[in-house]
Amino acid sequence: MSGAIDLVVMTWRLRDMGRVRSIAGVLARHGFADIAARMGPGAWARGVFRALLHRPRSSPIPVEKRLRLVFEELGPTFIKLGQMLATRPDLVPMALVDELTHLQDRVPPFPFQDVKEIIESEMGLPMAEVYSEVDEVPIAAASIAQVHSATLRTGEPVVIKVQRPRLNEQITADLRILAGLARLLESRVPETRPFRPRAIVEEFTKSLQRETDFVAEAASMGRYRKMFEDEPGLVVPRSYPEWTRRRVLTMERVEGVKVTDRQALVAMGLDLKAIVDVGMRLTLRSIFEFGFFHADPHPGNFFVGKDGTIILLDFGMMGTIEPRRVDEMLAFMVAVLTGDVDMVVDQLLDADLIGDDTDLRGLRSDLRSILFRYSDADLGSVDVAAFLQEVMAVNIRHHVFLPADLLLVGKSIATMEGIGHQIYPEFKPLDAIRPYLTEVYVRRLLDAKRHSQVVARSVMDGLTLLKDAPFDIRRVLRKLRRGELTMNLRSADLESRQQHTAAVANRALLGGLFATFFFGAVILLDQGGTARTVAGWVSAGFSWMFFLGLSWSLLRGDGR
Amino acid sequence: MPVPPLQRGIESIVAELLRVHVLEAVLARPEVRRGLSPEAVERIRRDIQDRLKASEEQGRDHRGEVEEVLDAALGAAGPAGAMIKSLLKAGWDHLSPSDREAG
Repeated sequence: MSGAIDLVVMTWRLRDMGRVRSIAGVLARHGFADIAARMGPGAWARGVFRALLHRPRSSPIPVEKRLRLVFEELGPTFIKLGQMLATRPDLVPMALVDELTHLQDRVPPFPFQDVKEIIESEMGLPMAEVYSEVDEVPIAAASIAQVHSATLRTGEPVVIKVQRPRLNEQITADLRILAGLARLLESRVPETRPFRPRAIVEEFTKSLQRETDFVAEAASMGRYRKMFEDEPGLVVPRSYPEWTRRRVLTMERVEGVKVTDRQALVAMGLDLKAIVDVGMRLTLRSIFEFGFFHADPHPGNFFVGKDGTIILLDFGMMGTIEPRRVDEMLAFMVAVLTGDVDMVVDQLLDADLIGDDTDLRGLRSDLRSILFRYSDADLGSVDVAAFLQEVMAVNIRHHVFLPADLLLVGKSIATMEGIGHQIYPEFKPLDAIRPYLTEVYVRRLLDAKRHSQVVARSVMDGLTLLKDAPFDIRRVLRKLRRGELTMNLRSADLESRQQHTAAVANRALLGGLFATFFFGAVILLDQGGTARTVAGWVSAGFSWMFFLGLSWSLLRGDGR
Repeated sequence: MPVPPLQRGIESIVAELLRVHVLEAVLARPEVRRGLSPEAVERIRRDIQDRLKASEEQGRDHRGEVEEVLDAALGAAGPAGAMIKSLLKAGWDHLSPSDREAG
């Protein structure tokens, strides 16, 4: 099998090999020499998983921490991948999730000359024709971009977010490598199939592509501003579409202090409880009222203005939930928060999230014990993050496939709770979350406008069906009368049997050809003479070719 | 974007059904009782009742259009359409107090 993997690895583009080597170097430096050694053509994919699943005992630093350091050192793609995995306790062990939440997205700034070149290449204009002033020292530098203060020619103070040079090339190469790895894992390591590595990489690719498109980010800012135009407690900076391109985002400059800078907030005389309440309300509203939420709500993206308004930044990673999904999530959350075990399980069943092999009785029993324990607790003392984590853990243990968006929602709420506790330790999140979610749940159940839209659609669909039915039935009957009715049946089992038969036939043919040419070559070479020797070697060449083909077929395991 | 009259008509009918037959059942659900204080339930009941009544009234004049669309489509479907229409009518008469009052 390792030979087959070699051949697949060799089909990768040669230009990615430099990056593969540098990844191997980083892995080796952090004590994953076992994996690094396999990163050349070889059985490295299996090595990666074997090394990840079995902790090497030689390093005193825990494997989770070393993995986090690897992600940080490997740059933007892997930092973002780590951040995504930190929201997926269903995919990676909890210890790694905890460690990945500490991923640092801080990197040294890139030179101002690059900033200028990128701005000018994106705008198609000299920088001075757009901005009268740009501060050469960045305000912040992260793996995707860095941010500079500037002033527009029209006098407005702005900040410019400029993408790192050559970021796109690096990300593209990394994503190709990740896609190749995912393909290998899915086809060669069956244990990884339930985690759907290819789907995860595809989802991650889309998310990263969106995050590196600043025009899309400006659109998200606009949508979020509009959603909360009735909310005086929130400021979303205005973007300047005329000065925004794929790699440059120009937005309004808004002054504020970091939401976690408690001392500064106290010195400003602000009501910390009010700030936390608004923050939690905004998080919940964005998810459960609008289905469009900040999917990267770490404290670095929250600031507070002089008047106590929350300033939200960085709209590169946004989560979107379909209205129907919002209903499902709401019902699930309400069931969890009100301790209704049967409703929790019903919701999971309705959403088709429970696997065939799930022990429903065991699931109910485990959920009941958690919900019962929390229902006894004082609402204010409940740690929502820990509570949701326990519920998720039970689900994962019972093979309930929690969807990524639900996990992201849980993470958003937990992050906001963490921020709340940091600046206002007396914060009682459940006091706010439970009544709010229950109220939204009731209002959605009784929303005439929403239901009428569904009814209108169903009525129109039903009427179309009814209108077309007589014609369709007549057509089928006519075909039946003429003996023209045909049916196409597909059987997955039949197809796999056909493939197997074809593979066996191919192997037999290759084996026969190999044997014929091999023995032909032996006989010809044995007889001597120039012509026979040449013909013998040609025959040997053919036999070698058929031997390779046969080996390839056997190693690939076609038609097993 | 202006709401089409047909949509308003449907919304009015749905609002009436929700107000008369569903509202109390939803508010009596155990998860709602556990998640909200009695005062909150009362506040929400009043607010939702007002909203539903407003939706009913706004679309009352357009209910005829719903009937017209159904008539036209069900008429095209022949005897099956006539049967469905009579079933719908019976169901609506049974559920809608306002139509009974009007009748």
